[in-house]
Amino acid sequence: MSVSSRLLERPHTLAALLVLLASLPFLVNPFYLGVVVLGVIYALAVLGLYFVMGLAGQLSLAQGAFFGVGAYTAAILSTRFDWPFPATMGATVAAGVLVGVALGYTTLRLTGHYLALATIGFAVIANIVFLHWKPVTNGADGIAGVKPPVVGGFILDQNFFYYYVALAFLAVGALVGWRLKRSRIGLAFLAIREDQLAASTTGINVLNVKVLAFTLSTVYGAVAGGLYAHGLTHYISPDNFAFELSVTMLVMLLLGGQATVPGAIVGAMLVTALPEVLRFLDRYYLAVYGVAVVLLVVFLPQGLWGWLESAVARRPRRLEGR
Amino acid sequence: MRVQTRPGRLALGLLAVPLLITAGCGRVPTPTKAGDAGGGGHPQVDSAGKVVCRDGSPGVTAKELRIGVDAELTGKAALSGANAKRSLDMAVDDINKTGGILGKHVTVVYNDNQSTNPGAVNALNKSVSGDNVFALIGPIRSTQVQAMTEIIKSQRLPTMIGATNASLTEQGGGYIFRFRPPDSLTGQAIVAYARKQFSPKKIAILHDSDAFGSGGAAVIEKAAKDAGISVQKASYTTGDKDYTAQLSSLRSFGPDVFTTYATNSEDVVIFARQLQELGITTPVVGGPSITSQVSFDLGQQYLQGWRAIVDFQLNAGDVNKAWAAEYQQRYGSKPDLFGAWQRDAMYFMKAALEKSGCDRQAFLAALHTVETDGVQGHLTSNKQGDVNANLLVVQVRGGGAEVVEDATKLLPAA
Repeated sequence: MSVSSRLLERPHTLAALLVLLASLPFLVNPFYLGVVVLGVIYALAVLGLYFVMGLAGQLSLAQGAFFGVGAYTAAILSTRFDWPFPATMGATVAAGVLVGVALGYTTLRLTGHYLALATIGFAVIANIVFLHWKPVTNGADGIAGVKPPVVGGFILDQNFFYYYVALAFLAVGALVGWRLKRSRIGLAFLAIREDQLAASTTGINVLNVKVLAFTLSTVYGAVAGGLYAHGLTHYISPDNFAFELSVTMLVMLLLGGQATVPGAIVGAMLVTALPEVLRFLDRYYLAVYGVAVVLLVVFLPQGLWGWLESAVARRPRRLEGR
Repeated sequence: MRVQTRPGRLALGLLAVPLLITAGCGRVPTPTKAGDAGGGGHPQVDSAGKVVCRDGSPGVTAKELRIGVDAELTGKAALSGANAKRSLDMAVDDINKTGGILGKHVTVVYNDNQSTNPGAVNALNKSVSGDNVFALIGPIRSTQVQAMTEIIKSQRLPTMIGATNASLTEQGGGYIFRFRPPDSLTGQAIVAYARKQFSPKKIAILHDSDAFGSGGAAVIEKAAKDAGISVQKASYTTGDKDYTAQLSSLRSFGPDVFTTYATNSEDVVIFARQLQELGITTPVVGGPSITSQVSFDLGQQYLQGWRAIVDFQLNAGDVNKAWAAEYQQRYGSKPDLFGAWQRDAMYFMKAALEKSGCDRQAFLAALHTVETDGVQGHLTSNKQGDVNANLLVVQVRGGGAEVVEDATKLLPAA
């Protein structure tokens, strides 16, 4: 790979993407503001999936459930125990670590389809728990009145301000993801993705590294869930975290480009916004949306960002040839 | 190396441009400080004392009054959303043919909520920010309304709903009005009727595990236990296709009456068929989704003899008959409850607007004072915003349902 082909992997690109995201609230109308807040929150969850799937190559279909675990952790602590926003967000990290380590060590000896099935199982079980553990989760009625963050006496409940709260989390998450890919741990993830056996012969503790990737994904998912509970509607219910959400998040990652940080972000923003942008098509949007997804998967198997990377990589080569 | 870094810097520079341009445009809102309050309004009248609709309120222009609709046009409950749209289209056409409301042409702006909570919130945001509506006809699903409640209150948006979870109007802060009886009434009526008709010792409950189904099931369970009847419950998830496990388990309990509290009619028909396949002949008494037109269209043969406590019954009353005939003529099919309450909400809003003019606060006050006769019966709001307390016991016969008795008489007086 030439230097030029890694152009889009340069930190400038990530910085430019974050600047673009930071300017979004000024560019969209108030209706789309709600959509982009949701997009940024989903992007953080999808970044989690980028570690476990994009880098370490393990198919996880429970990201929506981890999102739900974080949302319920934040909502319960905020409404029942009056914990402030920073404390509940800290608790979502703890919840993510707990779920990641516990689930990781029990399921990550499995590979391929079996691991996917185990994560599906967790997603379904988590939703049943949200729905039926009424004394804690308030069952199907969900939890209303999750408090927004307060900074210096100002309540950041409007989407405009909450967007920047969410974006700050995404920026930190993206930087960590960016750095990690280029670190020894990132290389270990990639080694496992390419060949587990070969990776183990080079001294990588496959299980521990996989659990680390998995835990990163659960932490990102849970923190994003916490952000979801505190913002937008301040209300969560089990139907928000159904299995479909995990599948949607997977689609977001695949469409954006699974092995890059910007890809995860672009995919999440795009898939969140698409149904709203296509609203003018009325009932027919689902058909158009479905066809668009199929076309993207068929013609851009590396995702939008992967396509962009190869497009950029092709251009300088022509320049060099002159 | 210079060649490669330049595009990166260029991108940064380009992206900073919109930031710089828009930074000075004054689009930054002011953060909320605790304790912000809203003002009140008075009915809009002209010098002769006649109520008029002045421009200025959200959704009111020189010629037009915009009403938003947040409905499930796609997704799991798309069939009921389609009926809602038909019913509202017809109501608005009729209103506009007779001069609109206070001389304004009524425009209904539909926003699909995709049958999900985030979708309902997006549709609400679109109605408020994009379409700038005066009032909203909201969803029939309780969790969707719960997800919307904070925004409805902060936007002070008068919202008419069909969702029946008992607490919704109370949480609505005076902005939410409900046009169907709350689950607390329907659930009690199911048990009251079952006791009167079958004197059961055991009652089985099959319910959707969503807010609507589990809320209704909890009311049935409490009412039955209070009457000394033993109860066994089983739940399913909206859209399930196989109910044999739940039905077998409930059959082994040996119930005298089978009760159901289902959210979607699509699900009712599937478990009705499986009930028949399992040879269960226990009488069934359930909630309103049994007798929707969607149920009859999908599988009336499985529902014969089933009884339901409903707030809407086709051809009950003169208003209803006239409406059903017009609907049948216009669309070639029969209307059902997914459409009836929206029609009633539209005419109820019309009556209130004709008292208040187009001032939102005055309109909210007027909603508490008007009375109309709708397709669901006599409508008038209580303090909380519950407009409809009409309930009937009906039984499925052929491709429709017949009224058995007035269920409100079975309930203890409120």
